Amino acid sequence: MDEARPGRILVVEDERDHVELMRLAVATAGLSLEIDDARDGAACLAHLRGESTGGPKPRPDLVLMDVNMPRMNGPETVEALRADPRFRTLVVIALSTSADPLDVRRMYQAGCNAYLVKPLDFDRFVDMLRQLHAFWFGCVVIDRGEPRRPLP
Amino acid sequence: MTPRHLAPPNPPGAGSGAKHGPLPSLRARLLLWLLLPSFVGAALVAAILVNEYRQGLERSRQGSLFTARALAQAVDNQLGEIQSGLSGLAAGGALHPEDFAAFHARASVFAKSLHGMGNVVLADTGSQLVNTQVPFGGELPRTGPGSPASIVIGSGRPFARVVKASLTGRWIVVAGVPVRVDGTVRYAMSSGVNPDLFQQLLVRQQLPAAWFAVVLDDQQLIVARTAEAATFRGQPASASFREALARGREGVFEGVTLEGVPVVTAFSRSSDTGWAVAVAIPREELAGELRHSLAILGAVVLSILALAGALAWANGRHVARSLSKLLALSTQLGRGERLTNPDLPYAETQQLAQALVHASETQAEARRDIEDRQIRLRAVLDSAVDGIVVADGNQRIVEFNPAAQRLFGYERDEVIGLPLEILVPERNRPGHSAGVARFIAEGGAPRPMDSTGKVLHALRSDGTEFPMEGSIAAVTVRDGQVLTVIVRDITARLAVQDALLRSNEELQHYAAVASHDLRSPLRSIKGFLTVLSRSEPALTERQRELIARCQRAADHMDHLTGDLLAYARLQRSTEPRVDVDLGTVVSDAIDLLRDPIRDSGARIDVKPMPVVRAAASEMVRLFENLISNAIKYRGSLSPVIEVSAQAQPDAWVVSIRDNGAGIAPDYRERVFELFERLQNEGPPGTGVGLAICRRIVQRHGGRIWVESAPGGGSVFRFTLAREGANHG
Repeated sequence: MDEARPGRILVVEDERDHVELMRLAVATAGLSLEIDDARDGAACLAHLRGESTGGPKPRPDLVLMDVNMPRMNGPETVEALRADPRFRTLVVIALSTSADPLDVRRMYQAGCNAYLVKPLDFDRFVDMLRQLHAFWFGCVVIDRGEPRRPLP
Repeated sequence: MTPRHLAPPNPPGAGSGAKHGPLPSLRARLLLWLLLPSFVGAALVAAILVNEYRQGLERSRQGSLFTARALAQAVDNQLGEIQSGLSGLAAGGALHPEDFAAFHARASVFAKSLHGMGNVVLADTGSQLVNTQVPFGGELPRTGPGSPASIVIGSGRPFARVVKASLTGRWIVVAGVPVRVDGTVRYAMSSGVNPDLFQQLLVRQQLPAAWFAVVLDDQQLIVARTAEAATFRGQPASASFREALARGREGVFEGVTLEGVPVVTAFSRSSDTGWAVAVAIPREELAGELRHSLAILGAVVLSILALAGALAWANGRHVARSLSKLLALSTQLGRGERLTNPDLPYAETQQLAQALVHASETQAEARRDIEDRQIRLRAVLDSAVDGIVVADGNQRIVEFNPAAQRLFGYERDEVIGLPLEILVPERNRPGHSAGVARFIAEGGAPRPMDSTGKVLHALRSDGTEFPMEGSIAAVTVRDGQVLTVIVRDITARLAVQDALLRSNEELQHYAAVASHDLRSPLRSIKGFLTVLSRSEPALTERQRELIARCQRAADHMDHLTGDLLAYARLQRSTEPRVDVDLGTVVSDAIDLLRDPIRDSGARIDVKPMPVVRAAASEMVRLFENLISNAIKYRGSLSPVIEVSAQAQPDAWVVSIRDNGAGIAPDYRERVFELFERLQNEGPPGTGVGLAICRRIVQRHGGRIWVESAPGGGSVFRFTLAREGANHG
């Protein structure tokens, strides 16, 4: 594990407030994470493919993806990612306020690696982020794709 | 549909009558019945009359014989009187020729005392010696050998006989006695007697005018006779009489009078004098009486018969007319006409007619009743929105109302008589008829046809189908069964149901999405508030308080959306019904409420709970909500909650009793409505909890309500179907 390099995550979330809360929570948790965000599935794909405005972005270590989004929702986005050989192994974790079993099922079927329910309580959310970080960046070895090679 | 007893009677000569020839008419039979006894009676009376005649005849015979005998006696007495007078005269003194002058004088006196001719003659065998009609010493006629004097002297016996008087030539009766001188018969003394003397004897008898009476002397010559005495005096009696006299002293015989009149004659002859008397009754008279009687009898009988016959005929006609009127009435009754009371001559016929009229009124009443019912029934059938199909026990259609015609596309006349099956789609026909037959056999109690829960389909005349629901019922009537099938086209309802279902689903989806979308900003608010509350430098007390209030409001809204989401999802739930132990359910609910129970110090007393068939998680939520409510709305005391269940015949009644504030009667219904809350202030609540409870209970086929608990507090009760009861 590369201690020097901070983790990088992509938050796919249509609610700007939630993105902001995420940043606040990460800050509160004192985690070393770089956070990019995309407002929906289409933006997520554009971001990962380097098609978004502002040029190619660094590949995230994992993606936190909301389920219900306008334009392109969670399951559709995950399916699109899994259909792309470059992102077949990308860690995608669903993060939603919905605990609806239907949503859970849809996301896993689309190819999610995990499904998390956002706690409403801020402190518990901070806790959850800590655990998430500890697991994915402390325990798990993830496939980072082809490192350092800019995407075409 | 003419009931047997209303069938018109067979006209005369038809039906059974034709087999045995025409039946006798009532009048003829009546006449016969009347005449037969009349004839017998007449015969009897005739027999009695004939018998009476015979007896009368016998009585006449006896009577006339008696009369004849009496007359004979009277004649005898008369003759005897004369003869004893003569004998006395003779005994007056010895008759010697020298005494003849004195004798003449004496005899003349005697002669005057005699009836009739009044002469006394004394004669010997040669000549008359004294004759009181001739002065003594006058010329006297001689007496011949056949003269009475010769006969008396010859015989020495008294003599009486009708004789033609030699002097006058008239027929007289001569009575004579022998006169003995010194013991020897020397003379005969005789006297002429007027035959009228005997004639008077007969007259005194006052015999009926037609009768004959006759007196004969010993020579059977006529002395006196009631008729034609002058002509027949001295004549011999009729041959038949003489023959009878030859046969005996007295008797009765049938003969002929000298005039040629057939008579029945009784006679008696004196043994002393040989004189006889006969009384003859003309047979004409005897028979005439009988004939008369018979004629009267005949006339009476005939007139009785005629009268009776006429009466019988007339009455027979009356009766026959009455009967034919009654027959007409009966026929009218049979045709169902209204009868008016006819005027009939006999009490019985009148009663019968009245009974018929009454029957017609009753019948008319009944018919009106039936007509009214039919009109009502027809109105029901015609105006019914549902198709009504009536079939007989053989499942043949007998009634098809307008709604059914519209539904199935058949005209009524097309389907009457066709099997019920034509209304069933081909694929459902096998077993259909047998199923209906089984339904009839099982009693045919009304039941819905779609009891299996499947949507049934019916077949239209054009081969298309429509979804239907309906009921079927069978009743037993006099001549079999009547099946009533009520059919309703549920195409529209199914469409509405479908639309409703869809809109419900959409609504639920909407609710789910909405509450999710509501939660999202809430989360932000809460998160930012948390961050804000920890901001540096430290906030003022006032700022902290406001932030805390914002946080509470956000929490409340969070609950609200959570409950709404739960409420919306409830309808979509497909959780299976399993056997659920409510005891376990209650412990689970108490477990979920651990914190509020601990915080409030509530004591929860759970009585033995039954096992029911239900959705387990819904039951947990139900108890959770109710117990939570009891804790939330507690009074000043720490909550004491009792959970119990009572068995009723087909349901369990579960009660959750608390010692809380209680609920005012006005609110007892409203608390179960969505967003209804008792208090605006006070314990936090979403107003959804009890609505969820009601929805859960309703989904399990029960109902929920709240009562006041005695001693304050409330009891929430709800029912759940019992194990084994038909609510599965």
